[in-house]
Amino acid sequence: MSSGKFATVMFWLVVMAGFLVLATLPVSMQAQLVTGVFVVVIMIVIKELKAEGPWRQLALALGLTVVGRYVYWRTTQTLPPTNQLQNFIPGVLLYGAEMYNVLMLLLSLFVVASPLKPREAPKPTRWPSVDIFVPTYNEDAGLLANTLAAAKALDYPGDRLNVWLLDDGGTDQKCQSADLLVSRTAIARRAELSALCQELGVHYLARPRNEHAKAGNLNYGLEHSSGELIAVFDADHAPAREFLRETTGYFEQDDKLFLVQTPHFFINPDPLERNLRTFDFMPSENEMFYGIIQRGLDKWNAAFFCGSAAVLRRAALATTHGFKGSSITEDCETALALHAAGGTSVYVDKPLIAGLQPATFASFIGQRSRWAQGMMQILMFHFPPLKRGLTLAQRLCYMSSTLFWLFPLSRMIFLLAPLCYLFLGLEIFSASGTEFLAYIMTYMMANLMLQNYLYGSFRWPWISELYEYAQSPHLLPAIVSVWFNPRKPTFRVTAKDEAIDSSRLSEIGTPFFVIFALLVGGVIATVWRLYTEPYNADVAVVVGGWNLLNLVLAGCALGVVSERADRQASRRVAVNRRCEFRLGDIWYEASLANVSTMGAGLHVFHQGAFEAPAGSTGEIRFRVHDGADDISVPVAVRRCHAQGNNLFIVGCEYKPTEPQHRRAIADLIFANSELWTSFQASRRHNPGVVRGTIWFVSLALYQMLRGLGYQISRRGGEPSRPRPFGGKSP
Amino acid sequence: MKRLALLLPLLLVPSIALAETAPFDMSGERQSVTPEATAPARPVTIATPVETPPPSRHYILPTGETTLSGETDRRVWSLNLDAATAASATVLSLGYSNAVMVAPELSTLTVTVNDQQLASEAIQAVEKPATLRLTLPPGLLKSGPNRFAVTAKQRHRTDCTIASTYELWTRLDPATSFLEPANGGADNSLDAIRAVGVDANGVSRFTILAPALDQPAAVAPLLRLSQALSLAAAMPRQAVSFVKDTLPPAAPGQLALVVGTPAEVAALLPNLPASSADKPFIGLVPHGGAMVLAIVGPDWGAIASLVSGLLPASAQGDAASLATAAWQAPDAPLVTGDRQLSLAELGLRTEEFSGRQFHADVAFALPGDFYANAYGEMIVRLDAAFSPEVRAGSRFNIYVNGHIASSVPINAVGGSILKSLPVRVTMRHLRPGLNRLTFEADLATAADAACLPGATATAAPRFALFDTTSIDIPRFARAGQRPDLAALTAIGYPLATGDRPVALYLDHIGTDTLSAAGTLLGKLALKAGRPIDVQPTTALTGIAAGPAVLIAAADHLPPDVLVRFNIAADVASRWPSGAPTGATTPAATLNGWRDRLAADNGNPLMRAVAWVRSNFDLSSTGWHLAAGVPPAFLPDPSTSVLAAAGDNPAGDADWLLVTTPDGAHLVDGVETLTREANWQRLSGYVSAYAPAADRMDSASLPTRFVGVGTSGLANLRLIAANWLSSNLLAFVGLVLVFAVLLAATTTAMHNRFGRRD
Repeated sequence: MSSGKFATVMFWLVVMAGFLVLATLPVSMQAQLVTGVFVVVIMIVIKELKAEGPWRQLALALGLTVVGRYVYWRTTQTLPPTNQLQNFIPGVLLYGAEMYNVLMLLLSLFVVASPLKPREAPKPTRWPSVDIFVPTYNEDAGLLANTLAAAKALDYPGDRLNVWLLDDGGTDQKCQSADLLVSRTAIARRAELSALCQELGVHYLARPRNEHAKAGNLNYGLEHSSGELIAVFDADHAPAREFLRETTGYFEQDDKLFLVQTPHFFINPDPLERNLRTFDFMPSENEMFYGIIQRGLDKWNAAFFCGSAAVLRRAALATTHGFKGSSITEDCETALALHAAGGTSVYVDKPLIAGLQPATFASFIGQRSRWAQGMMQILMFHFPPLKRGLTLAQRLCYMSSTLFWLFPLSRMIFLLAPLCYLFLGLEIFSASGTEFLAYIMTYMMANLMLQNYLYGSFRWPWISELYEYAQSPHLLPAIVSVWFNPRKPTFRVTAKDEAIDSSRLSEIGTPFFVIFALLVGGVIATVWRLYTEPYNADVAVVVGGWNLLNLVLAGCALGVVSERADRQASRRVAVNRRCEFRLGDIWYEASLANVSTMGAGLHVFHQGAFEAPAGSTGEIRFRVHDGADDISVPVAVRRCHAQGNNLFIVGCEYKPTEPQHRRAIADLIFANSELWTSFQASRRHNPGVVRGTIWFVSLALYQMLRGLGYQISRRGGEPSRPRPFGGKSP
Repeated sequence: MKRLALLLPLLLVPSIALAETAPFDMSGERQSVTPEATAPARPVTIATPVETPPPSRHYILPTGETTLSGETDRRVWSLNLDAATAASATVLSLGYSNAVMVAPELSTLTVTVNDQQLASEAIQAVEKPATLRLTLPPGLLKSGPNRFAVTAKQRHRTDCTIASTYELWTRLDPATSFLEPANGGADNSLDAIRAVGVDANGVSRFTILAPALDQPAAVAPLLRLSQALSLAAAMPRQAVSFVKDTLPPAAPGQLALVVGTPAEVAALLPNLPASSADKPFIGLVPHGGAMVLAIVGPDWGAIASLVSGLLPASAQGDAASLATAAWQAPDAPLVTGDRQLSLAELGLRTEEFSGRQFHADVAFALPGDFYANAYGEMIVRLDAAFSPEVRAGSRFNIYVNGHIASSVPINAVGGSILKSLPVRVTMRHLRPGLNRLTFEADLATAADAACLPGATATAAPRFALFDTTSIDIPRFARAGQRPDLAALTAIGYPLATGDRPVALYLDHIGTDTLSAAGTLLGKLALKAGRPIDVQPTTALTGIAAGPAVLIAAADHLPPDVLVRFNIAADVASRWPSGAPTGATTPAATLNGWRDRLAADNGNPLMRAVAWVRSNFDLSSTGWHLAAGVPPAFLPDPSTSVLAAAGDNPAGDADWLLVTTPDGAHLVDGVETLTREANWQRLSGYVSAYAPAADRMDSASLPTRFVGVGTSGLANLRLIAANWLSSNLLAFVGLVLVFAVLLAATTTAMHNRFGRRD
C-alpha cells in the first residue's frame, strides 16, 4: 500500500476511534435527547437542500452517530436480567434481530456510500467470438421464439455469433424415462424446439442426463461450444439489439475481467406490484438492487453474476471448471469463486434485456425461496468473510449480499416481539418513557432518514419492510431447512407466464391471514391493557404502537396475497413508431401506440368509415429500429373503436408463421432499450419520508379491506390453470 | 412497686369517704388520687422537673430532640460509656410525647440496648409527656460503645390513607432521656474523652483551661488537641471552649481539661503526681469535686507529643467510613467506586411491614472528588416481597438525600417476590460526604380503600424488605473541583487529604477565636477522619501560599480577602443591619406560572412540552457555553454565620472561610454551624445560616477542575461524560465536529480505494 493510502487509512482509523469513544460515552439522557434531535434536524436540512457530495457523507456520518449511541445504550442498559429467563430469552432474540439489522445497515453504508456513476461503454476494436446460451427447462416455444429471435437480431458480426438453446426438458434421460407421460412430453418438446431452432438458425443442445440443474446445463453448453465470450440469457430475458455492443468492449481493457453484468429489467409487474397496483409510478423492487446496490458493489469490484443478462469470459470459467453447481444459486457461487481467483467484474447500469416476473404470488415466493436457500448454502459452504483470495472490500460486499437473506428471521422476531408483552406481559426490553423518546425515537428517525438518503428514489419508505414481511412466512422454513440439510434443498420451478383469470386469494396466503388475526388480537390486548392497567399506560402505548405498525404491514400484505385478475398476461410498453397497417387489401397509415409480447395497439388514420371486425386478419409493416429495412408481421384484430378526428384504435394479436415474423416482434419490443430506461426514470422520484409514509398507510388500509373482502367472499377457487404457454425455469 | 400496689386499696378508701361527705369539693380528689391509680400495673412515672440536673444522670439522646414519624421509624446510635457508668447504671429513662392521632392500642415504642430488647410499650403520651423507666439487666451495658435503638411502630386511629401517616409522630425528649445512676469514672484519658456524653440539649463540650493559650508556641498543639478530642468523641454536636482562668462546674456532657507546663498549672491542680514536674503527664486528676484531664509537659513540644498519643490509630490512614455511629449507627462506609453495599452492611435488618407507607433509611459517604451528578446511575438490586393484598398502583420509591430518585410500580396480581430486581437510581442528588438513601413503599390495598373501622389494625404483613438487597455503585468519575464548599466541609477534601500544611488565620489569639477555631477544626478533622496539620498565624501575608482556613469576624477581614471568596467587600457594614436581601421567597416568575399551568391542564402540546422539560430536567443552566460570574454574595441579616470556599492567590489551593457579623458572636456562630444537621447543608461556594428560620442560603459558582490530568483514561472518560452531560451544547458541537471529520476521512478513503468514477 502506498504511503498516501496508508496515511488515509490511519487517519480514518483515528477518527473512527474518537467517534466510537464519543458514541460510547455514558452521558445523561438530556444530552442524548438534545444530540439526537439536533442530528436529525441537521439531516433533514441537508436533505431538503438536496446537498450532494461531501454533504451526503456528512449526513451519513451524523446518522451513524445516532445509530452508534443507540447500539451502545441497547447493549448496556436494556437487556432483561439473566435471572428472569422468561424475559431474557425473548429479549436476547429481539436484541439479536436488531443488531442484525444494524449490521446490515453498516454493510449497506459501506457498499453504497459512493456508488459508481454510469459510464460510457468502451468502443470495442475487435470482435471476439460470442456464444449465446439460452438455457430452458419447461418454457413454452412461443416465449423461447421471442428470445431466440432477439438474440439472433443482436447488433454484432453474424459470423462471430452463435446462439445455443440448451434444453433440459428434452434430455435423453427424460426422453427415455420409464414414466410414459414424462417421456412423451420430452420427446415432443425436443422435436418442437429442434424445429424452431432450425427455423431461426439457432443450435439446439439437449444433454444426456439432468445433473446439477442449470449449472450442469450451462457446462454442457460450454463443452460443445468454443466462443471466447459467453452470454447467458434466461428463456424470458430477450436482449436489446445493442447488448453486445455495450458489453464486449470491457473485455479488451482488462485481462482479468470475467464478467460484465447488466440489470434485469421486467416489462410486467411482480405479483406485489400487480396486486397493489404500484407498477406505473413506484420503482420496482429489483431496482434498488440493480439501480444502486450493484453500482456500489461495482466500486469495490464485487458485482456478481445474477444468472442472466451477463457476458462471461470462457478462459476465466475454465479456471473454475465451468459453472459451480454445489448451491442452487450457482450464479453467485460462480462469481464468488472467480473473484477469489483474482478476477474482476464490471456492472453496466443500463437495462439491456427485458424479462418477465413470476405471475402469481406462489411462484414469486418459490423463486425467492430458491434464492434464499442458495445464498444460505453459499454462506455455509464458502463463508465469504474468510474466503481466501477476496479483498477486504469484497468480503464485506459478499457478506452483505448473503447475510441479507437472513431477514425472515429478524422480520418474524419483530412481528412477534410486541405480542410477548401484549399477550403474556413479558418485559423483554427495559426502557422508560423518557428513554424511548431520547433513544428509540431518535434512532428510528435517523434510520428512516439514512435509508431515505441512500435509496430514496429507488425504494419508497416502508416498501422494503413490506417485501420482507411478504416473503418471511414462507422463506423462514426454507432457510431453516437449509441449515439442517444444506445439500438437499429443492430447486422448485417458477411458472412465469401463468395468467390470473379471475381475482382470487393466493393458495399460500393463509399464514398472512393468521398473522393478521394475531396482530388484531394484539390491538385488542393493547386496549384491554390500557383499560385495566392505566399506570402502565406508557409501556402499553409504545408496545401497542409498534404492534400497530406491524398490523399496517400485515394489512398491506393481505392485499398482496389477494391476486388481482390481470387480463393481460403480458405488459404493454408504450412506443411511438410509424407503421402501416393492412386490413384485407388496403394499407392504412398508422402508428404503434404500445406493444407487448402478445400483440400491439395501433392508431389507424383514415378519413371516412373504418371497420376492423374482430378476428379479421391483417399485417403490420414498419422500419427496423436501427436500419433501413422494412419488416412485417401478420396480426389478427381483437378490437377496434373510433377515437374521433379520423383516428381509430385497433388492438391486435400477433400471428407469426415464419422466423422473420419473430424477428419483427423482437424488433418491436426489444430493439430500443431507451424506452426501458426512460420508463424506469419516470418512476424514480423520492416522495420523502413523510409523504411516503402517509401514502403507504393509506395503501395498507385499502389493501387490508380488499384482502378481507376476498377472504370473506371466499374466493378460493382453483389455482390458475397454466395457459398453453406453460412455464419456465427461473 | 409491689408495696405501692398493696397500698392502693388503702388510698382509695379515704377518697371514697371524702366524696360522700363533700360531694362538690373536688380538692380532696386531687390530693389523694395519685397517677398510679389510673394504671396500676404500669411502671410509668411522671417525672417532676428539676432545675439543675443531678450529676448522676448520663443523657443518651445525641442530637437533642428526636422525632420518630410515620408508621415505622427508628433511631440507632452508639453511645460510649466509661466502665463505671456502665457498671452503675440501672435505669434507662426515656421521655416522649406523641401526636394525637397515634392509636395507643396499635402503636408501640421499642427500646433495644446492645441487641437486647428492653421494652415494647404502647405509645400513649398525648396530653402530657410520658417517661419510660426501664430496668437495665446487670452486665448489659459495657465500657466503650453501646448500641441503643428506639423503634416506633405507629398507626393512625381512624384514617387509612398514606397522607394520614404524616400526622403520626413521637418526640423523644432529651432532658428526660438518660441513664441513672451514672457514677461516672473513666479508667484512662481516652475513655474519658470518648465517654464525654451529651447534656440535656444534646451538646458535648470540651472545656480546655490553658493559661498560656496566647503564647504562639501553644496555639498549634492546643488546636491539635481540639482535633484529637473531636476525633475520639465523634459526637454530632461537639464544641470546644478555651478558658484562661477557671473551669465551669462539672455537668453531664462536659469534659474539662487542663493543659500547660507544670509552672502554669501547678496552682490549679494541686493533686498532680510529683513525676509530672519533669516528665510529660496525661491523666485524670480530681479538681473541684470532679475529674479533669490534665495534660502537662515540660514544654509545648512535649505537650504536642502527648496530644499525638491521643489521636486514634486509624486516623493515620485513609478512613474507610465516615464516623456517624454516635448519632446514626453504623458508620457510613466511604464508597470510592465499584462497590456493592448490602442493606445488612448498612445496618438495616430484614423487616416486615403491615401498614400503608414503609420507610427505611441507610447512609453511605462519597469522597470529595465525586463528580458524577450529571450522568451517573447506581443500581439497587431489590429483594422484597409483597403480599396478595397489595394492589396495582402501589409504588416502591427510592429517595436520595430527600429527593425522589427512582420509582418502581408494583403491579403484580396475587403478590410478588422480587429477587434482585434492578432499580436504576440517578446519582443527581448525591454529594460528597454523607448521603442518605431512603426506601419507601406506598402500599395500596382494598382494605385501606374501604377503611372500615379497625382497618389500621392489620397485623398480617403486606410487605417485606430483605437485607440482602444491595446497592451497586459503579465506578464513577472522580474529579476535584474548586470552589466546592460541600467537598471541603462534608469530608474535608482536599484540605485534610493534601500533603501540604494548612495555614490557619485568626485575627487575634484569644479564647473566643481559639474556641471557634478548635470547634471548627475538630469538625473538619472528624469529617476527614484524620487531623489537619495547621499552622496558625495572625498575619494574612503568611497564608498566601498553600491551603488555608480563615476564621474571623467580618469586620476583621480586609476587602481583598472577601473578594477572593466572591463576597461583597462591604459585608461588615451591611450584614448585621442591612435590609433583607429578599432571597427568602422566590419571586413569582412567568416561567413558574407557565410550568404550573402546563402541568395541570394545559393543552396536549403544552403538557407534552412540560413533561419533556420536567423529565429531562432541561433547565437553562446546561445550555451556556461560558457562564458568567454571579454577583458578590451579600448575606441576609437574619443569618448569623457564613462559610465560603475560595482560591488562594496562587490559584493552586483551597481556602475555607468562616465568618460572623461581629466578633462577639463568633463562637456561637461556629458552634451553630458545626451542628451536624446544619453542617450537612453547606453547599455551593458560600452558605449562610439563619437560625431563626432554620434556613441555609447558598450560592454557586462555576467550578474548575483540580488535578485530573493524572487520573487514568477510564476516569477521564467518565469525567468527560459528566462534563458533557452538564454542557449540552458542547456535546452537540463535539458530535458535529467528529461527524465532519468522519465524513471527510471517509470521502478520502473512497477516493483512494476501489474503482473511481
